[in-house]
Amino acid sequence: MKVEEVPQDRARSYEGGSKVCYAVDASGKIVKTPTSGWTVEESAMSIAWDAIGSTLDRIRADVLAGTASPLAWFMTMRQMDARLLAQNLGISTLRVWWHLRPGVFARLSQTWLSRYADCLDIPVASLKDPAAIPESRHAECC
Amino acid sequence: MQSAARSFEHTQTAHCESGATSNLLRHAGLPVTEAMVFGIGSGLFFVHCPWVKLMDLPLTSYRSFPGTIFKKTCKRLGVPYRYQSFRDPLKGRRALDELVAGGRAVGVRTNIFWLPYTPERFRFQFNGHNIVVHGRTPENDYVVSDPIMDRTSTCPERSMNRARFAAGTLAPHGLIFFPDPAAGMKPEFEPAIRAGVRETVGRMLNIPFPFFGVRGIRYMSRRIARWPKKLTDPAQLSLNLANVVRMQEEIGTGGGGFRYLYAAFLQESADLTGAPVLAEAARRLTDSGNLWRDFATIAVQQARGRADTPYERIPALLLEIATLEEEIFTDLRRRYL
Repeated sequence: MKVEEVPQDRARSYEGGSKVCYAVDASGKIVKTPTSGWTVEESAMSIAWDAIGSTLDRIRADVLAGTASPLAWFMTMRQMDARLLAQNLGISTLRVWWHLRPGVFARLSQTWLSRYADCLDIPVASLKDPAAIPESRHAECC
Repeated sequence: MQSAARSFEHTQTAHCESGATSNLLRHAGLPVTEAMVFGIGSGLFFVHCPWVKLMDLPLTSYRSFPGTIFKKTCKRLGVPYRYQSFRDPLKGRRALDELVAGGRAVGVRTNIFWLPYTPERFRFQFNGHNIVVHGRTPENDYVVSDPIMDRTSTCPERSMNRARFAAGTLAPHGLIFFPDPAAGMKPEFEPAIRAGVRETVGRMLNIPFPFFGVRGIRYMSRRIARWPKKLTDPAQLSLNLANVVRMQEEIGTGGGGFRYLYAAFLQESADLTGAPVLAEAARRLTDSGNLWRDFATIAVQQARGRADTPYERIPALLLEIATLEEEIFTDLRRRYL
C-alpha cells in the first residue's frame, strides 16, 4: 500500500478522529500515515454491530412479552454473557443463569439488584423497569 | 529515574501494546519506534483456532499473545522493567496512584469497553488494551496517553478501576508495567533484532499444529472454503467473514493484519544492520499486506452479499498469501538467521 492509497473514507465509527497505518512513501520507505477510515473495515464493523443490535431488539421484545428479564437485556448491552457477568461479580455462572429467568428475577432482593446494577454500570431503578429499555441500541439508555 | 517534571510526549501508533511500549521507552530516554518494538518483541503471528470462541466466533489473530511484546522487547534490549499485577484491587489502585504522583509514566492494561474517551464503536469486551497513564487533572481524572487515539485523553477514576480490574479472558488484574533503564543506557539492537526475527520465523514456520503460522493461514483457507456449506444461515456466514476482517483491520493493526507494521520493522532493521535480506523481506511482506487487504475487500463484499468475484476466490487468495509468507520467512531463516 502506497501512502497515497491509504484510504481516507471518513468512517463514522472514528467519530472524527483518525488512526494510524503503515504505507510506502515515494522513496520506498515504510512510514506511519494517518487514516480517517476504510469502507471495508467500516462494513465489517457494522456487520458485527448490527448483529448486536438485532440481538438486543429480540431480547427487548422478549422482556416486554415477559419471557426474558431486563437483566438479560442490560447484560447483552454491556456485551456480556452469563459467564462473563458471573466472572465480573465473582459468583457462579449457574447463579447468574438462574437470576436471568424472569420469574426469579422479579423476586430478587435489593442487594442482588444493586450488585448487578453496579457491575453493569446502570442505575438500579432501570434494572427493574422494562420501559427503561430503549428501542434502538444507539439511544443512550442511562 | 527520570525527572518528574518532564512531560510525556503522546505519539499515536497503530497498535496499542507496541505503541505503549515505544512511547514509554522514548519517555525513559531510549528512542525507539513502534515498528522496532513490534519486531523485537515478536508481535507478528497468525492463529486460527475454531474451537476457541470469542463472542461465539472462531478466534483468528494476526499477532502474538497480548502482554508478551513489552516484556520481550525489554528483555532483548537488556532494559530493566517492572511488570506487576495485583490480586487486591485496592493495592493495585494505590500502586498506580503512587507511581503517577511520583511523576512516573506507567503502562496499564485495561478492558477497552470501560474507557469512556474511546469512540463508542471501538468498545468491546477485550481485556488486552494497553495505555499509558502519566498524570492527574485538577479534577482528579487520570491523564491517559492511549496509543490508538490521536490525542491525549482523560479518564475518570471509576472507569479506570473498572477497566483495570475487569474479569474474563485475559483479565488484566490491574497490571502495570514500565521500563526503567539506567541513564544514558545504549542497548545493542542487532542481537535483539535477531532474537525477535528468530522467534517470529520459528512461530510462522515450525509449530507442528495446523492452527498456527503459515499452516494456520492454509487451515483458515480450508475452513473458509467450507463455510458456505457449514453455515447455512447467511447471517452467520457474514458474521464469520466480517469477524476475520475485523481482527485483521480494525484492532489497531496498521493495516493488512500487522504485515505493514512488521515490514516497517524489517526495513528499519535493514538500515540499522546493513543486511539487504531484511530489506528484501520488507518489500515482499508489504506485498503480502496488499494481498491481505484484497482478501479483506472481497470477504466483506461476500459478507454484504454484493460480490463481483466468486466465493472461491477468498480461500484461493489465502493460499496465495500462505505461499508468499512461507517463502518470505524461509528466506529469512536461510539467509539472515
